[in-house]
Amino acid sequence: MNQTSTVERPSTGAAASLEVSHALTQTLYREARRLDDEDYAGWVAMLADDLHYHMPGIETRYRRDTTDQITDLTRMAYYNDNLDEIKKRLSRLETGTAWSEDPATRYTHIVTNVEVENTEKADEFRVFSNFYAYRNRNERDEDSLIGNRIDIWREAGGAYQLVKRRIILKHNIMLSKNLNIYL
Amino acid sequence: MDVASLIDTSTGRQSRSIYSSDAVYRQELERVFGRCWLFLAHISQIPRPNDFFRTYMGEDDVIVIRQKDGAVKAFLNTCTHRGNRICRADRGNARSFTCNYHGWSFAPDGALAGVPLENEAYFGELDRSKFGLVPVAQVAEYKGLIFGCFDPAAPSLDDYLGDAKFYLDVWLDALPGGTALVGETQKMVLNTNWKLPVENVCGDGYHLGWAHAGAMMAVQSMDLSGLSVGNSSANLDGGLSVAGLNGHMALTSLDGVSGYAFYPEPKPMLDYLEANRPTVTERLGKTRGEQLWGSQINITIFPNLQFLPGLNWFRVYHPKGPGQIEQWTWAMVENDMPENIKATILDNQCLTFGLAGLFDNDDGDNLAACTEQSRGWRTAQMDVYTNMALGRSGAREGFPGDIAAGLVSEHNQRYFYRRWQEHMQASSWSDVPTYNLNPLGSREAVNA
Repeated sequence: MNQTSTVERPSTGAAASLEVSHALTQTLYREARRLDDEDYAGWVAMLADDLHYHMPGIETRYRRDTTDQITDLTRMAYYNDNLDEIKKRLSRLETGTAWSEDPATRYTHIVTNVEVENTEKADEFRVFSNFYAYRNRNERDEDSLIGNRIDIWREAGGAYQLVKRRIILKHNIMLSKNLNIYL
Repeated sequence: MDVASLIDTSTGRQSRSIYSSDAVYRQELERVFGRCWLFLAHISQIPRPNDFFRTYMGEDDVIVIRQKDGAVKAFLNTCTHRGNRICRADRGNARSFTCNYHGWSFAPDGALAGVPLENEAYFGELDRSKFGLVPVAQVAEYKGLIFGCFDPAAPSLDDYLGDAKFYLDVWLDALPGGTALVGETQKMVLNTNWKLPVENVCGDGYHLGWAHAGAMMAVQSMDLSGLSVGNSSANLDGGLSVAGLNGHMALTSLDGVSGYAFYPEPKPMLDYLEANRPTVTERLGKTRGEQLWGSQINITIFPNLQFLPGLNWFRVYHPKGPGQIEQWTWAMVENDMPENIKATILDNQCLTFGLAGLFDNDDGDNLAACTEQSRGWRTAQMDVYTNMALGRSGAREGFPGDIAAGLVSEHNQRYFYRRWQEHMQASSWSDVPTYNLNPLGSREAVNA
């Protein structure tokens, strides 16, 4: 059995303190609420300047195929963004001419299975979570995006900022006409 | 079916039923997808012996396999025993394909290599030679692009592409190293008729400034032939709409750099162009080397292949009924590019086009709604029009095809639907006209 190509779970096994775990869990929920509310200014404020936001595309391969579809950054990724690129995407919404965003999409992000671990850096924590993101648009457009996330969050001035996020979506063929959503 | 009434090329009219009718769709599977050369894979996707890549021809599931001798074969991905799908991976390398149902096993050359209980249950009477995988009738390559065709009576791929090769070569043959498609296939389902995205890309510069105004403001870093945001102005001398080439089309600017207009930091790309332009000019001549290579070009190979040098995406549309497609996209690179340029292209392609692409965010809704608004009892009886700049085309020195000025025209779309109608009316290839208008070297303008 070999699923390393579709599930990457490097765990240190070192659970963070209850206090840090609680604070970061609340941070994930707050982030999800801001995304649901399209409060993108509030969301960007939670992102570190050295952000790497990565969602690779995953093909259906036989188990014996050991191609690294997850961590090889030279392969295709729907998102492979730094903070400037995230801001560029968001700037389209602010132009007032992104016609397809009006009427608005209705979003719900559900975040679950949160695990918080210490890392080798005292101010950085690895956070595993699963997400269920539901979109409904116009009359009957709807889709569900479900997957795993592996984050690095950094403590800065009493709050946490997202430094790295790897999103492992479970789709092969995307059953939706765009990805106007952050996960 | 009265195909003649569905399209009127002289007025640019299409019946909306061509986007919604089941009968039209069934005839398309037979006369368009069952007859034309269809893109299967790029050689870069199956470089080694026994590499395979799965795709579709119309709705038929096909495996493309690199043979031991380097040749490429393609087979229907279906067991000859009970019809099960024999290959379930998108791509990979396999010494054999074994059916999950009863264990029949096929070699990469399609031969039936193993049958469980062959002697005990079939009493040794099964003629294996009659049960190999069913091959696609014709498979051929043009400069890295592998095409297949179900019709043994179809013209050669070379003749099928005809003078469109003049434009194809601007991408495929500009530099000696050739081209490649990068990374995983970006697949998405769109609830649109397959013809609508083809027409959108083959000639519709009109929508660019309006539908994509937000995306252009977000990422555009250079002028694209005067095509400004909001459609308020367009320099009609800055580009060409090229058609009249067996149903293939090009929509191109002529400045040699604007392909990289939608890169946030175009400088490294422009440096690459300038460093290599002398080589390209030597290989392809002055017109293509200086005016086309590096320009934004939309190339369409009838019926369902499109690629855009500059924005560097490569795409096929697989029909899934009259109202749905699977859209498959890849980033494309020249093998001679330095690694940092290739990486920039891949990132920028995913930022602009494909599932999370800012431009495709705009198109999906529009194409789906155009399809839906062709499905009602009343709307299916209505028409739509591509009647912009009717009759304003002709020859242009140095460029094959029937050509209209500018990126904003509906000239190419009319030729797309004309070709579609020609195929839909023809009962076989012998009834399909061939035309490569205004071939290079011809003196007189030929108007279609």
